[in-house]
Amino acid sequence: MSECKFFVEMISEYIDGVLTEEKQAELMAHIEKCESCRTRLEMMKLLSSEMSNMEEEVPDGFAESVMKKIRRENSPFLRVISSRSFIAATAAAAMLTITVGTISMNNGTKSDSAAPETMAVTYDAKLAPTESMVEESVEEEAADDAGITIMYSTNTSAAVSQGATLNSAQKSREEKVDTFNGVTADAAAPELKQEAIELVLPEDISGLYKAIIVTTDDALPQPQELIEMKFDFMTDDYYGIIMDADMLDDAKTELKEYGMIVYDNPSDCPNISESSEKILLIYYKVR
Amino acid sequence: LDINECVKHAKNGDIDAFEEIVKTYEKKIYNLALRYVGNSEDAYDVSQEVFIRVYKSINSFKEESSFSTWIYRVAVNICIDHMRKSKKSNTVSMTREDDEGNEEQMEIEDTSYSPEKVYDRIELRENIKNALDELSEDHRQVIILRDINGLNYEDIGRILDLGEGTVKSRIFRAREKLCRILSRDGNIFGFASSKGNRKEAGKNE
Repeated sequence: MSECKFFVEMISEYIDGVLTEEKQAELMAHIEKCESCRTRLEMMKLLSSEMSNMEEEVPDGFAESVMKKIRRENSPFLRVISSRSFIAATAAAAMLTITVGTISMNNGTKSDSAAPETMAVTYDAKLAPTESMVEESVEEEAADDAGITIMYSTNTSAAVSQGATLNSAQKSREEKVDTFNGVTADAAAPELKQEAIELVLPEDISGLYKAIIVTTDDALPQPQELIEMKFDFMTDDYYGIIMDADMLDDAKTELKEYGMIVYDNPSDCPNISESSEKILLIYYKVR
Repeated sequence: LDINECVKHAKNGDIDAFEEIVKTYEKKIYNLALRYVGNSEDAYDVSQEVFIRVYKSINSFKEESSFSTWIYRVAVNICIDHMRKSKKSNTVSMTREDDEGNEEQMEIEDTSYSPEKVYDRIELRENIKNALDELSEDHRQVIILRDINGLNYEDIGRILDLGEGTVKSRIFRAREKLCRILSRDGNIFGFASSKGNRKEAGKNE
C-alpha cells in the first residue's frame, strides 16, 4: 500500500493528460494490481468529467445588462451633453416624480427653502464622481428614493454654495446666442402619453416646471476624454437635469450644434419608448 | 473576429468589440463565479463586476500576454474579494492547512468500487457542487479552473501566481478532498453502501 502514495498524485496528472508515456506505463502497471488506486482513478476521472460538464447557461440578458452599464458610462451622447456648458443648471429644490413605464422614481428632496431662487452654476466635476452616481442608480434601480435623493441633494448644495459660475465655453457661446432663432418653450401644458412618459409634478409646484426632451441619432462627435457627467436624476432609462428657464434656449442651441434633436413637447419624441442612454429630459422652471 | 482583434478594438474604445469579448467569455466567467461563490445570484453580480472591471482596465492589459489568462485573473480576484466580503471563506478555512501537509491522507484507499451501481447523475452533480463548497478556497480555485474552465497547469499557475508544481499538487489534493467528501456522504459510486457496510461490520464484530 505504501507505494500507492507515490502513485496517487500521478493519477491526478494522468487525468489531466500531463503524464509522460513512461510514467503512464508505470502507473498502469500499478493500477493493474492495486484495486484501491484503480478505484481512485475511476473516481477522479468521473469527478473530473462530471465537473467539465457542469457548465451552466448564463442567465438570459447577462451580456445585455453588462453592455448597458458600459454603454451608459461611455455613451457619446452623455459625454457630449455632460461636457457642454448648458449643464449650468439651477439650484431648484423641488419635488419631482417621474413615472416612466413601470419604473417609478420618487425624487423627494428636503425642500431647501431657497428653492425658487434660481442660480446658474457650472457643474463641478469634483463634486461627485459620475461612476458612483451611475452605480448608485443602477444598484438601486427601481423606485429608489435614497440613491436619487443623495445625488440630487449633492447638486443642490453644490449649486447653493457655488453661486453663478460660467465656464469659458459657456461664455464664448453666449456671443453666438444672438444668431440663434430661439425655439420658445411650449407654453401649453405638454400632453403626455401615459404609456410613454409621464411627468408628474406635485400639486404645489406643478405648473412651475415643464420638460423638454433631447435625443440623438448617435451620430455624435466623441470627445477625446470621458468627461464626468452630472445629472439631477437618473432612472434606468432616462437622464434628467433641471435648468433655469433663462438658459434653456442657450442649451437648445448648443444641443443642436452637437447634432441632437430637441422636442419641446416630450410626447412629440418618436423614439421615447426606445430606451435610454439616448434620452435626456431637461426640466425648466416656467417663468 | 478573433479575440485579440476584439481586444485591440476594445482598447480603442470600440464598444461593440467589447461586447464580443463579453459574449466570448460570459459562460466561462459566469461558471467560474458560480462554482466559486456557490449561488447564481452572487455569481451574476460577480461576473458583471468582472466585465466592468475588465472594461475599465483593458488598457492596462499588455497584449504580449494572454488575454484569457488576464481575464481569469481579474475574475479570480473579484471572486476572492467577494468571498472575503461575504465572510463565507471562514466556513471553509478549516481545511486550509492541509494544502501542503499530509495529515489528512485518504481513508478511501481501501474502499471498493462498485461499477454496477448506477448513480443518479443529477444527484451526483448536486453533490459535487456541495462538495466544492466545502473545499478551501485554495483548492476550489484550482479545481474550478482546471475541471470547469478546462485550463492547463501552466495557465492556472499564471492566473494564480503559483508554480506549476504547486498547481499540480493542489489539484491533486482538491480531488482527493472531493473524493473524500463524496464518499463520506455516500455520494459516489455506491461508496456509501460499501463504507457503511464496512462500518456496520466493524461494529458488529
